[in-house]
Parts: sequence; C-alpha cells; structure tokens
Amino acid sequence: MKKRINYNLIIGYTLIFLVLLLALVGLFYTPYPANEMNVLEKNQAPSLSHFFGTDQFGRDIFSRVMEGASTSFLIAVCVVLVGAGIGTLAGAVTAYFGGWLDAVLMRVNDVMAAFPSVLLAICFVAVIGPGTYNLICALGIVFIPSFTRVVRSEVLVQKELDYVRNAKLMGAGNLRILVFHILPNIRPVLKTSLLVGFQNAVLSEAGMSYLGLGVTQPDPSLGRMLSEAQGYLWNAPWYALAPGLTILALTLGLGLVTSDKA
Amino acid sequence: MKFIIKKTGSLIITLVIISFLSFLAFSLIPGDAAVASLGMDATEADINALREELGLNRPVHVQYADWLLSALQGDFGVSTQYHLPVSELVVKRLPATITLAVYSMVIIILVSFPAGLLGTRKPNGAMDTVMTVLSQVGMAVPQFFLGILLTFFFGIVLDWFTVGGYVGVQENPAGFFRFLVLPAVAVAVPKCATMTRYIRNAVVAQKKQDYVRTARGKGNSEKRVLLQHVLVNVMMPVVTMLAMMAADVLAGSIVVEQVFNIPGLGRLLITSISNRDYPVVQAIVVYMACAVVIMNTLADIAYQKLDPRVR
Amino acid sequence: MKRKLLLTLLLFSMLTALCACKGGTDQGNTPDNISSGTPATGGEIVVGITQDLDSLDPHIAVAAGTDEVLFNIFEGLVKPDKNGNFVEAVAESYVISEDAMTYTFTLRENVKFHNGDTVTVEDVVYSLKRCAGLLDVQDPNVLVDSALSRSIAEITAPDERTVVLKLHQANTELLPYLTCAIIPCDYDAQATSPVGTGPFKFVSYAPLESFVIEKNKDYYGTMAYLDKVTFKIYASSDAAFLELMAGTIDIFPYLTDEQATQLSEKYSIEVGTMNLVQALFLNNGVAPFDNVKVRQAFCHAINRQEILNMLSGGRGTIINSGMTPGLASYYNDAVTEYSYDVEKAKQLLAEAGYGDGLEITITVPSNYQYHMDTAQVIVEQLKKVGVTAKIEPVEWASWLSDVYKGRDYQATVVGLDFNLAPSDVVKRYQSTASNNFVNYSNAAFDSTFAVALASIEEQEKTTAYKELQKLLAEDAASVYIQDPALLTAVSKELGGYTFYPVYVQDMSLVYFKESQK
Repeated sequence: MKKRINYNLIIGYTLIFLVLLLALVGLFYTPYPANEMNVLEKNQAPSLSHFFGTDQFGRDIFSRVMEGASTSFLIAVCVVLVGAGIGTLAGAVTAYFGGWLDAVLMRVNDVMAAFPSVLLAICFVAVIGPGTYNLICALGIVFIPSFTRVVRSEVLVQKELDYVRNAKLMGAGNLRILVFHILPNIRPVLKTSLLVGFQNAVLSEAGMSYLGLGVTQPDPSLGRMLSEAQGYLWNAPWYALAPGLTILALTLGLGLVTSDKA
Repeated sequence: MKFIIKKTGSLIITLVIISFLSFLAFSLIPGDAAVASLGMDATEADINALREELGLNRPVHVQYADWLLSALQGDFGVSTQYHLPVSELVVKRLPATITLAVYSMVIIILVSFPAGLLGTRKPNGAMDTVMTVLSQVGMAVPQFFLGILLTFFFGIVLDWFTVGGYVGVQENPAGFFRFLVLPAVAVAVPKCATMTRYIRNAVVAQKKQDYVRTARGKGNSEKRVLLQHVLVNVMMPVVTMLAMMAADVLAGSIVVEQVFNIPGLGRLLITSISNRDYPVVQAIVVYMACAVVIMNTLADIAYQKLDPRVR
Repeated sequence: MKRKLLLTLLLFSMLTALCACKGGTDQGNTPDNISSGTPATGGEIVVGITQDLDSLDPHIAVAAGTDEVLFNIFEGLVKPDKNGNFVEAVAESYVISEDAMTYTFTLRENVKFHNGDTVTVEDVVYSLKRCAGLLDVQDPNVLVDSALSRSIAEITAPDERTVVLKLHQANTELLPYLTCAIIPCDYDAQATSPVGTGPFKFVSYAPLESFVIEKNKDYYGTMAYLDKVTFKIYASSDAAFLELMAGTIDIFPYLTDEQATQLSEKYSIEVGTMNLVQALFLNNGVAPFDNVKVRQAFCHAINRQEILNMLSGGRGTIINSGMTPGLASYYNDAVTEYSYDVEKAKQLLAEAGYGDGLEITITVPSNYQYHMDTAQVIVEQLKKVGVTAKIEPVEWASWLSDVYKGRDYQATVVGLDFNLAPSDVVKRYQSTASNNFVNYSNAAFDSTFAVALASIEEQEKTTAYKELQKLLAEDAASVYIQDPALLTAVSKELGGYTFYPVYVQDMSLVYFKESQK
C-alpha cells in the first residue's frame, strides 16, 4: 500500500508545536511583563506594538496569552503525570495481583469514572479551595481512574501471555516482571491515553479557570482571560479570541495526533 | 432479573458512599455556615448560638445520619445563604437545567446519526474527510469558548437573540424555550462530534464484517444493508454510549449556564460553593450523583438485555 | 490544509464583523437627569443587581446588597434621606432628651403594613427588641445589632402611639440604628413573603433570578411613580452588562469604568459614591506591619491616584484616614497625607530593616472583583519599592472567619461600609473592639473615642472625631485608599435616580419622563 501523506499528523504536530513554542518562549521572554499595568494603554485594539491589544489594566494580551499558555501546559503536564503515575501503579498492581484489593479499588474507580471530570473537579476544589496547586491535585485525582482502567485491562491480557509465564519459570520476581516485562509492552496503549488525557487536562484546566476555580488572579490563565474578556465582547472581541483560539489550537492539535494513533 | 437486583443494590450502596464522603468532606472545611450567614458584625456568642441551632456542634456521623433520614423524606435542610428550604431552591432550578440537557441530547441524536453515516459510504472520500475535520474541531473546542463565539455571532453581530436575556419558564414559555437553544448547541457540539466519530467508526468497522458481505452478495441494496443489518448491530453500543453521555451533558451545562447566565443547577452550585452554602452544595452533588449513577445503571441493564453475552 | 483555511476564514469573518459593529459610543457623562423631565406616573422597569439577596427578612439579611433593595419595602421609625439626615418614617416625630438618655417616638397615625394591618406600638416594640436581641425567644438567625443591644436598657410603650427607649448611657448617635425595619409582631413568613411599610410591596422572589416589587398604593407618604420594579439578579457585572448592551435593563448600578465608556447612547451615567472606606488593611499585630515605618512606607508606595485612574477613570474620592467625606461635619480633611513617593518608601523600608526586599501576602475576598482589581494594581505598585506581594483570593466566608474574625492575615483589600453614625466607622479601631481586625492599638485613640461617643455636646464630639482620624493617619493604621465612585447606568427615559450617603437603591423617586412616554 502506498503511504499517503498524513495531514492529520502534520497539522496536529504543527499546531501543538506552535502553542508549545508560545508557551516555552513565554517561560523566558514576553514582549511585555505579563502582569505589568499601564493606565495610558488601557483597552487598546490590536496593533504592531500589541498584537492582540491590551486589557482593562493596559496589560499586553499577547504576553498574557504566552504566559497563560505555559501555565496551562504546565498544569496539564502535572495533572497527567499525577493521574498517569498513580493510575498506572494502581492499575498494574491490582490487575497483576487481583484479590480483594482489586475488587475494592475497582469499585472506587468505577464510581469515580462514572462522574464527569469537571463535576468531580468542582467538588474537590469546593473542598480544598482554588489555586494552581489545588487545581493540579484535584484534576490529578480526577484523572486517575481513566488510566487505572486502561492499564488494568492491558495488564490483565499481558499477564496471561507466554512471555510472562516464561519469565516466571526463569524465576523472575513479581515486581521485576511487572516493571521490566509487562510495562514496556503496554507502552503504546499508555502513550495514546497519555495524549487523550493531556487533551482532557487542557480542556478541564481552562474550564475550571473560566469558572474562577483554577489559576488565581493576577496570574494569566487562558480560561480566566476568556471569562474576563466576556464583558468586552462588544467592543473588543479580539480579547476573547486570543486565548480562545490558543486553547483551540492546542486541543485540536492533540485531537488530530491522537485520532491518528487510535 | 437477578442482574437488575444486583445492579440496583450496588447503585444504592454507591449513592450512600458518595453522599457520606461528600458530607464528611464539606464538614471538614474551615469557614462554616454560621459565620457566613451572620456576616461581619456578629459576635462569637451569636455565631455559637446559630451553630447550636443548625446542629453544627454535633459529631459528623450524627449530623450525617440526621441528614440522610431527612433527605430520604425529601428534606435537604435550609440554605444558609438564602434561608430557604434547599429542596425548593433546587426544584426551581431544575426546569432550565433539564430543558438544556434534553435539548442537548436531542441535538446530539438528531445530528450525529446522519453526520456519522454521511462519510461511511466512501470511507476516506471527500465527504468523510470533511466530516472528520469537522468532528475533530468539534471535539477540541471548549464548550465555554463555543458559547462565547455563539453569543458573539448570533447575539451581537446578527442580533438574533438577546444576549443574557434569559426568562423564566412561567414568565414567558416561548422565550424560555427559544433562549435555551443556543446554550444547548454549545453543550451539544463537542458531544455531537464525539458521537459522530463513534458512529462513523463503528459503521465502517461493521461494514468490513463477513455478514455484510454476505448480505450484499444476496443482492440487497446498499441502503437496505445499512439499515437492516449494520445499524442494528451498531445500535447497541451507541445507545450505551448515549446513556453515558448524559452525564457529560449535565457537566457541560454547569459551565455553559455560567456563560449564558442561566439560573440553573450549575449556577446554583457555583454560587453555593463560593457562599459556603453546604446544604445546597451537598444536595446538588447527591442529586447529580443520583442522575449519573442511575443513567449508568440503566445503560448497564439495557446492555445486558440487548446482549445476553454480557453478564 | 482545509482545517487551517477554516480557522482563517473564521478569524477573518469575525474581524470584519467586529469592524462593522464597533459603533460610536461616547463617555455619556451627561448632566444628571435628576431634575430633567416631568415625572409621569406608572410604568415598569428592570434594575440589574449582581449580589443575590441573603434573606428577605430584614433583620436576618446582613449583605449590603440586600439592604440596598429591601430599603424599598421596609422602613424604620426614621429613615435616611439623600442628604444624610434622618427623616420621620413610621414615627411622626421624636424627642431626644437633653441628657441623651431617653428617646421618645410618637408613631404616625394609620400607617398600614402591606398586609393591610395598621402598625401598632406592639409591632414597633417587637421589631426594635428583635433587632436588639431583647426578645425572650430570640431567633439565632437574626443578627443582633450590637450598638442597639449594648445601649438600650428598656423599650416601653406608655400609650397607643408612643414608644420610649431608655439607654444605659448617653448616646446621641443612636438614630442611624433606629432605621431598623418595623415588621408585624405576629407574622412568621417574613423570610418568604416579607411585609413592611415602605413605598413598595413585595411581589415575588426567585433566587438567582429576580426580586419583584410593586407600588404600595396605601403608602402614607409621597407615592412612588413606578408601578412595578424588577430587580434582576446576575452572576457577574459582565453578564449584567451584556444585557444592558442589549437594552433590556433600565438601571444598572456598579458599572465598571470600562463598561461605562462602551455604554450605548440609550443610557446616561450617574456618578455617586459607594460610601465605603476602601483600604489596604494592614494587620498591625504581625510582622512586618507591627512596625509603623513599614506601614508608612506602604502608604508612600501606593499611588492612589493611579488606582483611581486604572479602575474608575479617575473618579472616586481619595481618603487619608478611616472616614469618608460622606459623614460631612465629622470628616477631617486635614490629616497627615502620604504622598506617592517611591524613594521615601524605600528609605522607610530600609530603616525598618527590609532594605533587601520584603514578601507579603494580600488576602482578598474573591467575590468582590473591584477589590481584586485594586489588589492587582497594588501588587504592581509594590514591585517598584522592592516588595513582592502575592494575592491570595479567598471565598467571602473564609475571609470572614480567617481574616475578619481570626485576624490571621498580613494585609487585605476590602471596603468597609457603615451607617451614618460617625462612631460606626471608627469604633473598630479601639484596642479592645471585637471587630478590630487590623489589631490597631493606641491608648490615645481609645480615650478620645470614649469622649467622642459619650459627648452630648456637638462641638466637642466633632473635635474628638477629627482627632481620631488624625491619629489613624499618623499611625498609618492601614493604607486608606478611597471612597470608590459608584457609576450607575440609567436609561435616558428615566428621571429621579438619586444617590444616598448610604447603600440604598431608592426606587420611589424614579420616574419615566413625561415627554418620553
């Protein structure tokens, strides 16, 4: 079969790369300090000195989008690391050893997985309060079940395969088998769910910040900026467009890349 | 039958666990209802008197048992913010949220079936590619951003509807139902996209199966094959998926209610969280948990009924 | 490539669309419409509010946003007018004894409650006792007014039309507290369908949606013009503003400056004051603010004019101490003024041992966007003097319990509201006051305050209050910022919108202009 040019992958990676570039550069350099206010330049329309104009405090929206993108990226990465880390551990261990631990954890898992992630995260934040770290904790916990489920079902399949039996016959310990034999074999599956998880994490973070339950002011966050921009929709639609399109580019990129993998 | 009883049993246990955990969590947070309700000028004595009255000084498990007993009788206590019965508050918020959810589900069903089938005639053809692109964009767009875009286009540029002009169902039923269409679109689009994609992939996969080839071989028309054979087989997982989606629609409406300033359950939840109005938060959490868990259980049961292989 | 194209198209069409819709809106700061137009009777209006009501029972409600609308339904023995004086309401006249120990009220004849009953002395005694926490069976939800409960010794009704208050100690400032609502004594549905004596009566309330009132046709005083007023409740000022732009709201108070500048021609903007003491309150009890030099450094470091420019287009009244000019004769405008001076601030910080920089946390109630915005500006300004400030947004309930009651904070931005008694706004700075959340302590202040409160001689009282403000400023008790400007959008079809020196939205004076109808 002739290999076709895969537009999905190309466009997907391009979009991710662009946002990542914005975010990475935003970590070190922004055209203006993202929180710097300027009375004289309030609510300006896009121009050469301010690509996306300025907000109600005269802050440069482009700079804030850059910083907001890196915040979103970092939070999403942390969330996925927490979720995938704990989820993989829980999934692998319960599937491999089974027993009552498996039964109990899967019960908890099912209950959690049944809930829409935003709803669950709202409940967590209601208890522990808003803020960047709290948001990472809340979303991280919320993301555990999906990883647990994927890893568990994979490990259940893998542990019945010949190579595991062979390893056992060779006298390898359970932990060794799990870490060095099984985990490498479920990597492709894990990779896809990492990407899907990442997309969900970006969307959830933006949603929570939009609701005022995430990143706290004055630090820029894409979701929070959107909610602030809503009041200026009449006269300054670009204010909403800039953070909105950035989120869209990132999630769309991730979606294209994962859909190709799936 | 045994299956149904077992499922119902685990449903009840799940609900009790959820309600207890959330009750416990909310009672551990500092900044309690008595302080919030009396405001800045209250003295310590006033606050303590109110705590006593609200029963906040009792052990958590006693409070929970008390709450559960009343809740079973439909009494969720009194809101500390509004000084009104919680059940009354929640019930008044239901029309907007339920209408929004039903609208969204209707949109999802009406759009995703035709859209899903559109590309399957010629997989990877032009139509399929267009649909794929659209569904990719649809899945990626955050609901609240979509809500803002819709507000901008239809409310400000085209001026087809009054921005933020929500009216109660009793006040003006026509206006109420008209206003909720756009928010429903905002809730539905990402889910539509997922569903479209799902249906498309399922149909394409089914079409490669032997029985389809057999059916075609027998001289059935493509349309007949699709409707009588493929769709029947695709239906089951799709229905299950729809039931699961109901939960997401509910969650989506929380955010979208905020965008369109709709006084539904979601806005009540967010407002109550910031007011530390825990009787209300607790009631909404349990209510939504009920809705979600019941939908899931129904999906399980339906799945089992449709496919006896599942036990 | 199709995806890219789609996005580009989307973007492009939006940009074109926006050019088309950018209408010419002006500042709209037209001369006030209070006097213009002949009043017409009748009509219905919609008023946007952003704070939901916390109770319909006027004695249970504590939020300023609730008092503001309930003002239309309830009245006390007396009520404030727009000049800050107290005019008779349910009472027809009152006499304060020479020694300021006895207040005697004569009730107006035939004042009717909205349920048709006539107001009796029993109702008045009941209402006052309920506010003062003197009932035998007191509802714990009622917020007892400590000023009333501490001053009042006895409430009696010698005859059918007279109510006498006997006090523990002389107090000439009790009148502002006697605006407490008069409600029927044997009525227990106040929280769901409130009954008062005001110019409007209650129609309906739906939490998160609306609060509706209609004209009280049996009102004893000047009848309201409007037939019906709907207070529509919005989640945020932004949400309300969107609807204002769509033209479905007639009056919307608490407009932000940005909103005011993009308002359509349908509205005029009325400018008043919020009657709040907005300040960066500093916890005098903890480091680094236990050092007066640090507090003074902060006063110099914060550019209050810039805050005004940033948040309200330069509107608002800068204050230097803990009182606002609204309290006319008691306000002292000759207190120590801390000019904006970065060098001075740095020098003071260095003297205090913080020359190498300082890190502080500003706790702000996140539900008040105005204070959040102020805090954001302050953080930027503090950077210039080497202070790294972090904003910690908290829910209102946490703010109350941790900051206000627990005093566990370094600095906070908030606005304090007060009634028209001058003691109300400064009594919290007494070292022993239970609500002294800034932990201010100065023996001279305490003794002067005692003089001010007990004095029955107006001249002496005024001097004492002015001295108190001077002390607060000298000690830099906090960084006092401003009495914020209150911008209200009022439809040009309406007249009579009036600002009060307290937090109220008086709808009884609003009318449709004759020519417009």
